[in-house]
Amino acid sequence: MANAKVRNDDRLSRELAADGIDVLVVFSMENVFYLSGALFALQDMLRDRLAAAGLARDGRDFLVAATNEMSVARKGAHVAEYRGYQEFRSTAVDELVQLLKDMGLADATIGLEMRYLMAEYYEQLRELLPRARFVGGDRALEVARSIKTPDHIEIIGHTNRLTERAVADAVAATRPGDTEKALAIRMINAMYEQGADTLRHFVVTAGDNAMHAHPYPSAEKNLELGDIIRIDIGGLFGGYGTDIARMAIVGEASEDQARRYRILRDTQREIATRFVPGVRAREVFEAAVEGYASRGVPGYKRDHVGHSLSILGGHDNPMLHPSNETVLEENMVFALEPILPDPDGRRYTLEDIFVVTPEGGRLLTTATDTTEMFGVR
Amino acid sequence: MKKIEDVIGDLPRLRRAIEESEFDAVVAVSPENVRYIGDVNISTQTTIRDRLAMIVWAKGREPIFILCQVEEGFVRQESWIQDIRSFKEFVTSPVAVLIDVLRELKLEKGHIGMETEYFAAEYFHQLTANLPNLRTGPCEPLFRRVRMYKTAKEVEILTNAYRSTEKALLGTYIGVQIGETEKSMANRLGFNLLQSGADDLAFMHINAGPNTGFPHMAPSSYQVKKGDIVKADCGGFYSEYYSNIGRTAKVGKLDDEDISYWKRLREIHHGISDMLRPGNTGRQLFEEAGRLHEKAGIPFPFAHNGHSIGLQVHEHPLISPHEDIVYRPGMVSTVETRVRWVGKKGYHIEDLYLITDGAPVLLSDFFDNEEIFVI
Repeated sequence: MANAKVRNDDRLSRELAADGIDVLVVFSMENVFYLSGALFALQDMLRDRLAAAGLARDGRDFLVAATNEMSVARKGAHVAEYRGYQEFRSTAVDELVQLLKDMGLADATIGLEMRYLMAEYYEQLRELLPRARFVGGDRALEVARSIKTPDHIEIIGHTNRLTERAVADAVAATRPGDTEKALAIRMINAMYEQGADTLRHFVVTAGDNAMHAHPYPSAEKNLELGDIIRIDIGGLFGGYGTDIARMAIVGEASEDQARRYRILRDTQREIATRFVPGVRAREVFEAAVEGYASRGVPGYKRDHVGHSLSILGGHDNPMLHPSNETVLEENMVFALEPILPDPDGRRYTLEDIFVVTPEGGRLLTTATDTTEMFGVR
Repeated sequence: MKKIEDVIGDLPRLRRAIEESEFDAVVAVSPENVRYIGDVNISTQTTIRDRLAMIVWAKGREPIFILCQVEEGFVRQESWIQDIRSFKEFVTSPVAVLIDVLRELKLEKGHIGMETEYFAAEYFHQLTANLPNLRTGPCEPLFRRVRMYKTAKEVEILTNAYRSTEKALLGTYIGVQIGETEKSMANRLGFNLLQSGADDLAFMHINAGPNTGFPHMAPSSYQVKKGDIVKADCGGFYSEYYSNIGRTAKVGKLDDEDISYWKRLREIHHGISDMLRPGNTGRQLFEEAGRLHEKAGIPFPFAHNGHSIGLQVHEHPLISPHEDIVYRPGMVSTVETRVRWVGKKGYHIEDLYLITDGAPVLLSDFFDNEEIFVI
């Protein structure tokens, strides 16, 4: 994965030009990784150990990072220019400002990651670069990032299939009476066995706990016969995030549980046929509403039924929600999760990864058979 | 239903700090401060950053929670805060709800403490553009001042967290095999951490041989060789509180260089740890660390030498040349003593201490690393 071409330079260049941006500067863990190839594992935890990566419209790229992280950063990064700052002595903002001046960009139009950059640092930049014009770089970045390169699609498919296998292995080793937490530990261990470097999120909820969105697995909740289990998990593999969800049943599914899962899966696969260039994101959501209605579940209501897969595996735009007019393009990649609650609110969830192609969504998560729920027996 | 008395953090102290502050209200937006005040962890707050969660706490009022509708049921069940205003994702902006709440509190012209080191520029400008008469100021120092005093519950969580992490690491070291990859060691460490009680893994920098010369390298496919130093700087989450320990081991017999460096590092470590007493500051400890390293002939290029810890991995007071917060009983601090030669070798010790009226109390007391652990 180290030499994979993931940054969509052609599209970035076009989008930056469209927004009149001379240089794009990003600060979040995922976008620093996307632009520079440097992954700072602690960036989310030590937010004030700020890192920045940049790409000028003429192709010059750079990385600013704390000196104590630079030795590791340089192992994975592929930018032309590196600048380090020693924590508590100078700041990322100071080094970034000097670098932009050195690059002749002190009076340029600078696209910033406004949805991440903290207000305080933004004010410092404005003060230190009074002749620059600051605009949001988020739109251009998001659009470019949503169209995946062939290498990126390969990575997404491979890593999500590893995640599927981890879930299947953990469920296969689990027995009725085990706790939610025991299953979670097994699953995390299986993720590492499959090659994950760390986990980004994991949800293991059984029985009534499946009503909640994102609680921690419980050490008190035992898996009882008839419980449905919802597993939603994502890890980082070499910096690339995954995100899938699978269902399991403890013992045998009741007729109602099996029917509900079948409706979920059939609808999900039907929705995926709409992953065609030219279709709008809201139309994909509408396909969920129509698909459920045609299967006897009218009035389907959710905030969204899926999302573009971000570099770290989380939600990214375009989101598949009812008011999103974004037009899908070839090689966008979506995590499709049309959650179907039962009458008590337990969330039946199946999340798979699809690539937008002229023939409809191409399924990347093909490592496990999801025709029926996994079984804990 | 949970009551304010049941929460982990010191909310009476926070309430007093707000009452005594220059602000009419403070707005918590960072995961750590929302967790601290709400006594609930909203995991998507970090993984889906634009799904903002905020708590507005105005003087003389009870706090108001603002969060995404999808998390409302869970938060109602888990938090003591019952005044919850939810926003529908993609339909209502969380900042619009914040603006409504501030208007409801008649604070359109108020002085509001904001976490400007977390709140993104876009949201901040949405807020100030809609409430142009609002005065804002950074409230991180207020939160820091409160959170640096740990409650008995926090000390209990941290003690358990550290001991569990040490136990997990010791178990991992014991099982190291020649030829095993760093990734394999990390897999076992992760499993051990969760088995020993962690809710989640925070970071697992476990490396061997030349990779011990890096501070935070991800575990690689490097295979452990006889004679390698094995070093870990790792931690888990325990009720969202971090553990963060450092321990050093060696595959096989220690040589003279190992013994010599380790002896000097341990002496520095004890010297600095013993200074974690009321009245001292992180600046004094850092300066003393510089002197002790120089005297021992060990390079000291570091920006800090330890830190408090809690819902964030680095909290104040730091052991740094810029830290003037005076240690008081009830605070905690790590001391990290290390030396690294990039791409060659490194040794690392990191422990946690509780500051008391007298001598500091070592909380990470399960895995004694007085000597390099021999695998």
